[in-house]
Amino acid sequence: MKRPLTLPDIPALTNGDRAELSQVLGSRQMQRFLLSVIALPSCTLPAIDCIRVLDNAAYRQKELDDLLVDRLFKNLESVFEALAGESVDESHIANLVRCAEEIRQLAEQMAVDRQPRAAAVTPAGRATPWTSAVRLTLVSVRVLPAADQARYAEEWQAELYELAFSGASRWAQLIYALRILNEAWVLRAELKAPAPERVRP
Amino acid sequence: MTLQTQLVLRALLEDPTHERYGLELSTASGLPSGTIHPILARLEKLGWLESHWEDIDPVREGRPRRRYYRLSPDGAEYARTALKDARMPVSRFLDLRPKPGLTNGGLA
Repeated sequence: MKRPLTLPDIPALTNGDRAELSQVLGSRQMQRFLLSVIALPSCTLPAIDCIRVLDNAAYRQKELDDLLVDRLFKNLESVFEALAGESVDESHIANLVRCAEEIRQLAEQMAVDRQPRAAAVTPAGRATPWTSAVRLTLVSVRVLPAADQARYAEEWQAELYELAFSGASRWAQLIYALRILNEAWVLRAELKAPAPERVRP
Repeated sequence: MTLQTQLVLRALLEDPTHERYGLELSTASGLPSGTIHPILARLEKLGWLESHWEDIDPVREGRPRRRYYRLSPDGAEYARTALKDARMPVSRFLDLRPKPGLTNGGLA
């Protein structure tokens, strides 16, 4: 049996941080992603329930308390623990684990780095995107059909480079990567759909 | 046709001969990048859009290649007709939608 992942203490978040996090993570697309990738609905129910609470709170523009955000990460941890004991496709587990790990690590950085900063530069003097945002984007690529993964890996990384060039903060790059993740499943459906006979989109 | 698709088509029709990459279309349409790509994939599958890789050396430029999109000749005509026939025209909502620029980190 795999060792369960443990989550470190989450640093104190501002009200603005919590609201933005819930807005991004509380989308229904994220719920479908969790259900579809690991194909174990029973294991994801606690995490999805927490996301639904955050989603509703954000929709009603309620103030969030630390408890809701903590619940999200604790429920993700319980999902990992449950998955550790199941016999499922390893690639599905790996995808979800990497996804949630990235979200957790990036959320820890939120209060630390919200300002535009001088980005790392290549030897050619060009700014490079935040490594964690790139890694999260590559998680989204794994959702796509195999034949399309190379294309979107390069296309989305190019967009992250554009953001870095324009001086986007690491927070802005995180938002970009999470929005890509949110819609990756929709893109997967479009790519797998047969070519339509009708002309209208 | 969804409002999001209409916004993308309007952005493309602003200059049908001009090629744009995903972030540019996101800014021009006012939609998040995540929303743009499924729409572009669908339009490309329909034959309304053509796309190709930027002709650069990524190593020398220090960045990956962009993917550029442009309406196909037939696609431009279909797009104009479709926007004209749209049941809920996007023009009704355009005044209400902010359009942030790339100076905001390129986020819509």
